[in-house]
Amino acid sequence: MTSEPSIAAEPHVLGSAVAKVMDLRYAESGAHRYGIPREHFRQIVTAVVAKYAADSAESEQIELVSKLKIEELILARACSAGNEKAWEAFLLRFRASLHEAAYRIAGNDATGREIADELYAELYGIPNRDGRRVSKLDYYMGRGSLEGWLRTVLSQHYIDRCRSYAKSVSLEEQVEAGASFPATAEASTDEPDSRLAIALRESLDELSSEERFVLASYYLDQQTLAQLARQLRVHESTMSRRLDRITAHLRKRTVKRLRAAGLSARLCDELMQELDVRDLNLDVAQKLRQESALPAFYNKDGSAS
Amino acid sequence: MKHFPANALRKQLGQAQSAGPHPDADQLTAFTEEALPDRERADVLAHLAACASCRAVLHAATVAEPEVAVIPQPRPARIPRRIWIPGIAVAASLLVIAASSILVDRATRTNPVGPSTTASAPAVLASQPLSSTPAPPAVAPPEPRAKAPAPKRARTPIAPRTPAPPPPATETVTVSNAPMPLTTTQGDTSAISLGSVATRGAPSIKSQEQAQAEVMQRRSALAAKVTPEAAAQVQDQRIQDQRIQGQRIQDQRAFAGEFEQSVHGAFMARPALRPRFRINGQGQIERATEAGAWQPVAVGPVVHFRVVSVAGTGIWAGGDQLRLFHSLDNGVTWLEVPLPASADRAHAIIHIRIESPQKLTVEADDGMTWISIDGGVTWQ
Repeated sequence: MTSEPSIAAEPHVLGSAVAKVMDLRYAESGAHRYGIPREHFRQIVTAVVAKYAADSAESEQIELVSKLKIEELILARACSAGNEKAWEAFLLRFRASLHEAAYRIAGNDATGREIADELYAELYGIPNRDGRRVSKLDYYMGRGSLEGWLRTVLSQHYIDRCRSYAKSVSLEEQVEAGASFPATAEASTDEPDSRLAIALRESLDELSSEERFVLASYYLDQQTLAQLARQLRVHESTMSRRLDRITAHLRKRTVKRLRAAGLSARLCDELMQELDVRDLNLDVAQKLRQESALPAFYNKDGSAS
Repeated sequence: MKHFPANALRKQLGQAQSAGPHPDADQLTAFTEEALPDRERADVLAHLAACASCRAVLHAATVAEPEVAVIPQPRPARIPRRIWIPGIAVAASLLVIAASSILVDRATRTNPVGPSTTASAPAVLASQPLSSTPAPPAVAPPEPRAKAPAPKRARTPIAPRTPAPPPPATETVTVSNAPMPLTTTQGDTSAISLGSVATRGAPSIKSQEQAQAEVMQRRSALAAKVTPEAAAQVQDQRIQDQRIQGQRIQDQRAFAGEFEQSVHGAFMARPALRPRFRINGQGQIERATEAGAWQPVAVGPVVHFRVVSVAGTGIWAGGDQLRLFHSLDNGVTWLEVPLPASADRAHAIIHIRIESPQKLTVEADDGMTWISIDGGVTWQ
């Protein structure tokens, strides 16, 4: 969170076609409203290209520049530079939605207001060691909408906050709060048959990234079909069918592998049936807490953003 | 997913190794907004499949997405059921009649004469084009497809059916695969029982004599009831029905065309799907579609708006002087909702939170908060 964004930190030479697209986008960016000259605009966009498509072909760079939310990117940069007019426009457009998003994420008014205020402080800028004010808005690169980016950053804040809170709360406080502790804090340690584990792992490796994401979101993160459908921008029934198809395919491939390993059909069925969905005992929240307290996002150079 | 080893699956999914660096907030946002190129999207998906932290952020960000008022998509006009059901019935009946005619025609082609017991004058049933233009009531005798010349058509009383040869003044009609004669005065009138007769068994299964006798019995029973006047009346009635049906189909098609045009026009007049709302720099409410064009929304009074909140098709907007407006139809019409009179009108509404269609909270810039639990009728 403390590393500073590198706007035009390193000179990056772009092709003439990309520069032409940049010039075209300058007019629609509204940069003149905030007094951003063309040269500074180029630096801003060049930094984005350098971050995401430095080694890409020129056509991909052009596509990247063309798809940037250029108006919101310039607004964010103008805000981080302390432009009052930009801040006025920012607050007018995003204040309400930011509070609304914080409330939805936190689930209650008080926590929502807290994380929204914290983010406001970071958006305005926190002085770094050199005394220079660094705004969180400098990290916005215009790939998605500014409103969506604010929601994502809020989500990250909230999750970091939950993790730090879980660490800082003492056992007594948890007991006072009514927390009960199961006899086995760990998830089910029943080790499935190693042959099943191997077959399952190999079958999983065959799945596409999206299919594994769907499975992980559904089985590990306990996301509902509706939530999954919203994330992948498909209808809920489509997601239901897709999940059924994935699991059926996974089961089929796993059984095939088990059979190839020399297991009888009956034993395969027993292995596939011995662990029912209702027997699951996996504490996802605990799994999340066990992970490191490092921020979720990193820059390519390894520094936290 | 019954009997799937989900626990083992979770273990395997949980042991997955993260692929590559974490995507930043920009990439995650672009991922949810489907703004990433395919290659980059695949990379992000591969990472998300293995990284619980990034998935948690993504899930939380999705929860925070506001509900978007969705206007129905323009769909192809649909003909009301009460219109198209009779149309289908008419079409089906015409199809059955046409199929029967074809079957009869084919039967007579394959068995032009056959070993009919009525060796005197075998003829072919006049198969008129039932599905197209109606034939005139007085139908000329069809071209005999049999080798023997057909006798002249005459309206004479139908003789009682017996296996014996009919009187020479009558016309013998072959109506099925089995070469069986039917004596009638009007070829078409015998089509009343064509369906059942034409589909009966082939001569190879049942002897021709037996089949002929059976059909003749049935035909004689039918013909005994049919007088020439009745047959002519049936023919006229059927032609009239066909005309009415043809006119009805034309009317239905015309109505369906008008309906489609009117429905399509009505939808085209509406704004496009998935409108989003914002407030521009001048404090006006604007609405945009996925196409990206922002259009101002006419609320009515000139108000400098500060906040707009959307929940389903309900939209709330607030601004200076504590003016609060509500729209129930995606911003087409607006109604001003008065806040309590004691409120200080010098301030502005800066925050509207919709917890349900009935419960909402309005906050002013001086910290004053009003809560309504009845959809804005009363405030506390």
